Amino acid sequence: MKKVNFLKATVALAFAFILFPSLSLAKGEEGIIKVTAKSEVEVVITTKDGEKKVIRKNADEAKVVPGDTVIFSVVFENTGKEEATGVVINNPVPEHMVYIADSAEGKNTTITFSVDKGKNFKLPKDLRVKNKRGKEVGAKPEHYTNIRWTLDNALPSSKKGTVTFRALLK
Amino acid sequence: MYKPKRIKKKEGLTMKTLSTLLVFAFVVFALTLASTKTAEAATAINTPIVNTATVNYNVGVTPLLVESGNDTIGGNSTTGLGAGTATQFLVDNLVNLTVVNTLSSTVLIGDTTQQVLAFSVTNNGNGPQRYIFTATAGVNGVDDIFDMDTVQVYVDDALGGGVVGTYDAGIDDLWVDASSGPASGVIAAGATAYVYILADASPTSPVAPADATTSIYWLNAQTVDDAALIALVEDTDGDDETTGEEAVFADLDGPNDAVQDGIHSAFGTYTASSVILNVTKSVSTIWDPYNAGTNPLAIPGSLAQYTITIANTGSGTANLTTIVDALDANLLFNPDHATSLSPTVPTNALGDAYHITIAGSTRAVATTDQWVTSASFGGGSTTLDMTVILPIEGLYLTTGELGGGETLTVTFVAEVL
Repeated sequence: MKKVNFLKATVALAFAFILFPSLSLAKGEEGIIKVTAKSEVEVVITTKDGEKKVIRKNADEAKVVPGDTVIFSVVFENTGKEEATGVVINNPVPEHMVYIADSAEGKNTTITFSVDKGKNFKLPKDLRVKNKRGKEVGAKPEHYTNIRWTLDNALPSSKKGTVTFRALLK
Repeated sequence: MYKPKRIKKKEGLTMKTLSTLLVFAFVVFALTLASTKTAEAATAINTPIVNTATVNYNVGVTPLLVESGNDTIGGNSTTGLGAGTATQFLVDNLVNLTVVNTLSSTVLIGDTTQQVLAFSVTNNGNGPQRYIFTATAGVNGVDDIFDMDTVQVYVDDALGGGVVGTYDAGIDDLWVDASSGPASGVIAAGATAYVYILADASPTSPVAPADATTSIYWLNAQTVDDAALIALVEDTDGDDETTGEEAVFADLDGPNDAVQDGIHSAFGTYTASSVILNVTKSVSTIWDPYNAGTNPLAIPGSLAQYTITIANTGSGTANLTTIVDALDANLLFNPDHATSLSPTVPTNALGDAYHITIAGSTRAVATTDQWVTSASFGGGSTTLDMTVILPIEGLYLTTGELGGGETLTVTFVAEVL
C-alpha cells in the first residue's frame, strides 16, 4: 500500500514540475491588473458644523479592538492596453476575523465562498460542513475561509472595480 | 491452536489499555476545558491582522496571477506569488473588566479583626492588564450606618498554596500600589483574580452600631498604564498614532464608577452583630427545719437556692468559658439538689447538684434541660465549665457558644451552717 502511495506522490510531483515552468514565465513580470487591498473601519466624526458623520479610515490609522467590524476592499484596475478575461478575485478571510453574513459585495460579479481554505467554492446555500458528531450540516458565515468574486464580463483597458466584505475581529 | 489463543489474550489486554487511555484522554480533555472555560479569548493586543487578495486573469490565452499590494505602496501589478505586499493593521488595547462581590461578612463589633469582603476581578480585555485597587467606605445612608477600622486591600496569591478565592492569612498579599511584587495586580486576558477588603470591627463611629445594621465598602479596580503606573486614559481623538496599543474602554458601570471609564466596582457588606450579656444572680431561702417550705427563714440548717442567669440579648454568638462562684464560708454546697419540699425533710435529687436550663434555644431538650452532678464542677468554689454545659450542636460549632437570644440559667442549693 505504502509503495503505491509513494508512486502516486512521485507522479504528482513530477506533474507539478512540468506545470511549474509555464507559471514561472509570468512570475515577476508586470501584469495588466493592479490590485490594492484595503482594511478600513467606520469612524464617527464630528464636523466643524457639529454634524456627526461616518467616515472610513484605514484600520492601521484607527483603533481596532475585538468586536469591531473591519471592511476589507479589493480594488482592481486594468492598467494595460489589452482586456483581461476570466478575472477571479480570491480573498481569504484573515486570521482572527469572522465573515459577516451577506456582507460580500461586488458589481457584476458572482460571489462564492469556500469552507475548505479555497479548494472548493460554492454558493452559501450549497456549502456544507461537518459538525462535532461528524454529521454534515449547512455551513454558517463563521465557517467561511475564502471569498471569491468571479467577474461576469471581461475587464477592458483602464477600467476599474472594487469588491468588498465585512468581518468581525474575534 | 496455541497461537490464536495467545493473540486473543494480547488483544484483550490491548483493548483494556486502550480504554484506560481513552478514559485518561477524556479526563485530560475535560480538565483542559475546565481551565480554559473563559469563553473564546479576544484577539490579543498587537496581533497583526494580515490580508492579501489574489486575482487570477487571462491576457489572451496566458493565465496570470497577481497578489494585492497595500494602499501605502499604491497596490501591486507584478505577477506571481510573493510579489504582493500584505495589508496589515495591529489590534489595539481593549479595556474591559468586571468586579463582583463574592463574599460579605457578619462581624462581631468590638471584638474581631481582619474581617473579609471578597471580590473577583475579571479582565475581559485582550491583553494582560495592571490595576489599582481601592477600598472606599460607602456613603452614609440606610445601608451604611457605621464604618470599620484599619481597612486594607489584599490580593489572592494564587500560587501561594492557599485556597484561590478565599482569603488565606499569611499567604495572600497586602496590596500596596500598582508596582509592587506579586500583589501588583496584573491579570492576564480572560483571567480572574481575587481581591479582598480586610477591616477591623471596632467602629470609629461615635456610638457602637446597632445590632444587624450594615456598613458598605466599595472595591474599585482601575486600569493602569503599564509603563507609567498611573490611571490609563482612553484616547478619544480617533487617531491611532502609536503602533497599536491605544486603549478603547468597553467596561460597564458599577455602583461606584461610570460606564467606559476603565474602572469597575462592586460593594460588599459588613453586618454588625453584637453580643449583649446580662448576668444576674439571685438567692432565696427555700426551706428551714422549723417552717419547712412555708415562709422559710435563713437560719442555720436552712437551704438557700442560688440562680445564675446569663442572657445574650444581642444577635451575635457569645463564646463563654467558665463561671466561678465562690461560696461563703458559712455555706455548704448541697450535692443533692432539693427539688420538692416536705414539711420535715427536703426531697433531694440524689447526685444532681446543678439544674441547667436554656431558654430561647433551638437546641435539643437534653441540653436545654439537664441535671449535672457535683462531680462535674467544683464544690466550695463552684466553677462551671461552659464547654460542658454548651456542647457543639447544630449552629453552634464550638463548645461554650451561647447564641443570640439564648438565656442560660443555672440553679444550685447550699445549706446554711
